[in-house]
Amino acid sequence: MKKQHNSRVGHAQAGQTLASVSKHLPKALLHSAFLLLATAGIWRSRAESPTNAPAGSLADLSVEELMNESVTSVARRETKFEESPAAISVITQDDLRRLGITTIPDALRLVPGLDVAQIDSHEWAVSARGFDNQFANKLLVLIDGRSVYGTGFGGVVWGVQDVVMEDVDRIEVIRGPGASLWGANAVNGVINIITRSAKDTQGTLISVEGGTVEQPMITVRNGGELATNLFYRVYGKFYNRDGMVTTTGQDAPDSAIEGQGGFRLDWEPSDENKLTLQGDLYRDRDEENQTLNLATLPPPYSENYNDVNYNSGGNLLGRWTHDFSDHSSLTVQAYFDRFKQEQAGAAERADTADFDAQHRFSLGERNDITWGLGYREVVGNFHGSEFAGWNPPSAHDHLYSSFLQDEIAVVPDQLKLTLGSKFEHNDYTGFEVEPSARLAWTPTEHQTIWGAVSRAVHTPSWTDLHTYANLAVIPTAPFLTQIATLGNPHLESEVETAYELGYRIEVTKHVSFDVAGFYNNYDNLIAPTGQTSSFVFVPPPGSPYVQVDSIYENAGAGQTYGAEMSARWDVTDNWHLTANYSWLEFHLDFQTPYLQGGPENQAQLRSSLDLPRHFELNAALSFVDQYNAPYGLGQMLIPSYASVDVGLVWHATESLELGLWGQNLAQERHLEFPSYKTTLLTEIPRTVAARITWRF
Amino acid sequence: MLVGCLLGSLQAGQAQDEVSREYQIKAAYLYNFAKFVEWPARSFTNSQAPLVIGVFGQNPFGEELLAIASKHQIDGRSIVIQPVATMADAARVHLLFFSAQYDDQVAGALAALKGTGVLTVGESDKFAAAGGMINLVREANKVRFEINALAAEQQGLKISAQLLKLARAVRREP
Repeated sequence: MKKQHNSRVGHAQAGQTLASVSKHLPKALLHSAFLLLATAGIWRSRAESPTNAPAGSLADLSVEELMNESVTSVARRETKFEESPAAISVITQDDLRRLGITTIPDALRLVPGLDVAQIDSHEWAVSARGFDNQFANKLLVLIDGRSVYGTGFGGVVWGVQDVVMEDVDRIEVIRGPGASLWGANAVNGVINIITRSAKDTQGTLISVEGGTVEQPMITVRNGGELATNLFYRVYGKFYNRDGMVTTTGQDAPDSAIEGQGGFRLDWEPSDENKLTLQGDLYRDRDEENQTLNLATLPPPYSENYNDVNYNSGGNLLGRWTHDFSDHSSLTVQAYFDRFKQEQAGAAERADTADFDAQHRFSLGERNDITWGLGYREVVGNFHGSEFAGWNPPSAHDHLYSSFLQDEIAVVPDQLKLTLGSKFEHNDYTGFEVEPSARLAWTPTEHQTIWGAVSRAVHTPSWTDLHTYANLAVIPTAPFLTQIATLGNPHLESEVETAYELGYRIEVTKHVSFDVAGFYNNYDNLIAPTGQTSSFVFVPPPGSPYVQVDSIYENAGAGQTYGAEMSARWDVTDNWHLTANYSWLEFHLDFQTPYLQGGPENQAQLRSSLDLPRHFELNAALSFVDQYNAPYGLGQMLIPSYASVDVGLVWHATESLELGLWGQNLAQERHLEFPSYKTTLLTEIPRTVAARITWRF
Repeated sequence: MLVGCLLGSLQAGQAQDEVSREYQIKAAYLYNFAKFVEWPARSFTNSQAPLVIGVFGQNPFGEELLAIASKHQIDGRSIVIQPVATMADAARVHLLFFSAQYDDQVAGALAALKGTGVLTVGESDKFAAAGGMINLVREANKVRFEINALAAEQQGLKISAQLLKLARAVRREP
């Protein structure tokens, strides 16, 4: 570990070229429990009679899982995703804790088939099954039931999606379409970040992390019981994150400071009723690595911005769950979310109000029906600059939705058919229907074969519809040429038809294996491939110029196919190994650098070892193949990289936990993804971190 | 002879295939507790000696515990499920479960177990108040647990930090 402390010195060494750039992988150190959990959920689902698991089978669950087992069968709703015939992974609290994970994107590196690339200290490109981009617009992300997918740019601003990591219960990741339940933009995946009930986060937690990245990160949380069965927690979190490095290993000025606070109330007035009220407020200040170079018509045709961005926002969510009986339950949820961001002299504000109701009930012996209604209103404003903005500068969207799903036990305990569809109406593309059919066959107790056919859509973002962005001014003779991107209000939705096939087997109690394959066909993919040019006359003292616009259009079709594999081996009770591999092929029927696939091959091996005297040793070895990324007006090839992460955790006393982690140890630094804002690149350095966590 | 009677009741329990999910979960907890507790060396005659889980009086677990014992080992030790009727039986097990129906006898039984190194697990306030070590608690429709760390330490038992961390409450009461 000592060696890593010198990594800063190492960065200063020149001579590292892009081609030899290294690796990085997550803070992933180790651990295999998430797979176990995912598969356990699936095996468990075989016992159709929910109150009667096979004798002794619950002994395979960990204490944490037992704590979440319901004495009555109402837990079916909660375990539903894991029971689904779909490509599912679950990241547990134990994974996050052991690996010293501090950000949600880093947690997602544990899942095969997700492409996670860090752009700088506060920006990430996270995608599933291809289409890697900072604004990956085919992946839906929810935190405690609140969508954080931004309609403005079409994607997730990962830098402001933060939670108290210690309070996360689990992160459920579904690769592939989830549109029949979640609606538009759940095209290639759905990520559900689920925090614990306030009832399960009682007492005080203080966590302080310091290292080469977090300088420091401080989390304070307090939970208690306000009245009988009424629990609360409040928290505050702050981090000062040091910048990453430039391609020559110098310190890059992309540091970030964030403060966030929030609360959660959980009231369980009876066994049948649960109420939750929660909210957060945050604000951050992000410096960009490097001066932005923005196009201007007057000479010298560009203007330098020393860019500092401010993001802020907040949300308030209420949820009521009522169980009518073991076979019927209702969830009603409403939230408000505000997000503001400033980038390169432009400012966006989006206010979202969302209402959602779901009812689940059994119809006869064989049908399990879920249906729901939803309404969402989004009000957006964009204060543009001369470089970029929206035309018109505001939007007011109304989204009406409903869904119906039937889980049919065709042959009880053996063959389950799930049919469902979302029906939505939005202001731009009108009615959207997103059906899916899924079939799961469990020929023996320890294996499941499943297949699915689904249709999903990505609805155009405000940027796709309304943007103008001046990208460059070229002093060509005899006139200047200004190159810009323009939105197109006549866009149709992108449509995906997805075919999936999966197989899971628990070979022995200690070895299990999961594979999922997919073939996706996309139509109407949106890209700025339209071209127009015009001559713009400007009276003196200005100069006339040629305006070349790239216009967003439904450019054409594309296909992706690939597979994800995961294997778990519990070598002993104290030593667990997990191996992941994913493969991805990407093809477009048209040419554009704007849409890219992702790494063709990714692999990861993780080990978690419990040592005597309450020590835990965790390690991860990862490989990410080379991939293309959009870069300026073109594209660049990101070299492949490997990473080694190692961590040691010591439970010094019942209330005190100490952790020491070294991340990205294989190489001094490596590139993961370029920024859309600049052609200057930020690389991810080797890091060390130490954390002390005190609970009382 | 008492043992014979209890074996009878244990088998009767097996015959009833309807064990409530609550006791399925509690049985799985017992197995997990055994994994996270370190007994004093004197509790085992050798490194292969089985780990004995005792059930005081009538067995509410049906075949659950037997099914777990038949499929699992702990640190290379096989698991034996032992009905317990007398305090002499009780002192010979490693983990002893008291169901709530024996609340009237639990204080006396716990007092008699002092110094034996037996991990006691119960499911009632009375059990906890009488100095029982791990108490299973119903919370809404979930089963959670509380630990009396001092009671365990006094018997030379080491409960892992992981388990303590997950407990709903950790108390240190004599």
